[in-house]
Amino acid sequence: MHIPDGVIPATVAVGSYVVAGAITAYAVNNVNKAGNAQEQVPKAALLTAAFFVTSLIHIPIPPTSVHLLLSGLMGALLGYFAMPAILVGLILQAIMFGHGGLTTIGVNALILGVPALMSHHLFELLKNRLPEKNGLTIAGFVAGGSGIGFSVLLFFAILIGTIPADMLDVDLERQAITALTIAHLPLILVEGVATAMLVNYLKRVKPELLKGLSDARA
Amino acid sequence: MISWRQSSTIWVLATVLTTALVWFLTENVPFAGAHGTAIDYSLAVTVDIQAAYDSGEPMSEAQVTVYAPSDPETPFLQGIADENGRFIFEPDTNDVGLWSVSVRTAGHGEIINIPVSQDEISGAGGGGLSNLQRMVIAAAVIWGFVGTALYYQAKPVKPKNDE
Repeated sequence: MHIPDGVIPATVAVGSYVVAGAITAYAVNNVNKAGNAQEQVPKAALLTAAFFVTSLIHIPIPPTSVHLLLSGLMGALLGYFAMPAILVGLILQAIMFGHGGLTTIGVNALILGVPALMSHHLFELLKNRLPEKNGLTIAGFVAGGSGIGFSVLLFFAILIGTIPADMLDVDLERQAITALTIAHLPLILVEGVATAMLVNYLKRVKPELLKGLSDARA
Repeated sequence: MISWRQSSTIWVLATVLTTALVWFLTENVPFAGAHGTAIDYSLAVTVDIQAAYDSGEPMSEAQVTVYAPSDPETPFLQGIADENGRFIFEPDTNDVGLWSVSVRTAGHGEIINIPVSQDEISGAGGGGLSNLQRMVIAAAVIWGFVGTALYYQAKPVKPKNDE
């Protein structure tokens, strides 16, 4: 679910770069304010590696195939660090494999990064408000699933809103985008469950990894 | 000695056979029961586009737009690839230069440039990375991230006290 070069208008690509740059600066500023950024680097590096490699793993969902996005998981585990981590992952995917494009790194960073930040806040909110017994599981599921849902929604809105009027068959393109969006919906469940399982596992074996930047600040 | 009746029969038969033969050769009427084929050909320079995702899945019914070098703003040709992602077109070889072909479906696609000269189209292009190349690149990048993680994870080593 990476938008490649030449698909969106140049104005949208440039505008996305500006907005993504501003959000990344805000995120990095928050990382620096927390004061424990270096402690978070190993976790961020490993999750960036996971994010980078998941674009190579295709899951067949007829009539197409999709790959894991990890935006919700990155947000839940990395907090504000998710935004620069996703940006680095996207740049490497574009350069190494041609996934996405160099002109569309901004818009792809928005599609995956903004939902990651939203998932981070949702995870922190639910984790602290829900009962201890199953609270972490529910928070992980909601954060992981909603991150994907929001990413898919942004992807759909941007592509539908930028279909060139001079395309041969606009309706056919609209149908194709809708079909691809629907094919991604099962990922909400898959990544929600995966995030819930991972946070539970980390709580048992290495609970300090669940301490985000906000915990360190408190 | 051939009689007048026999002679006229031969002439009529010969005329009918000759007419039938000429008709067959000119109109190409196949004999009943023969496995007749009609294969026409003409020499033309064509471009065969095979569009697929990097997973190998064909880009079924992708929309293809072709731009000629002389007018890169106005589409020379627009069409839709078949269910196997295949699209064939014939460029105007008098329009020499880089022909741009845009293939798009569901917000995915690519623009490729094909060099066309008076009498040929330069080679075959595309293909991307092989699976082995992808694996090697992925392994190298992952190792870079793991190395970064280990570097930041490592605790500073205290200098040994000689005494």
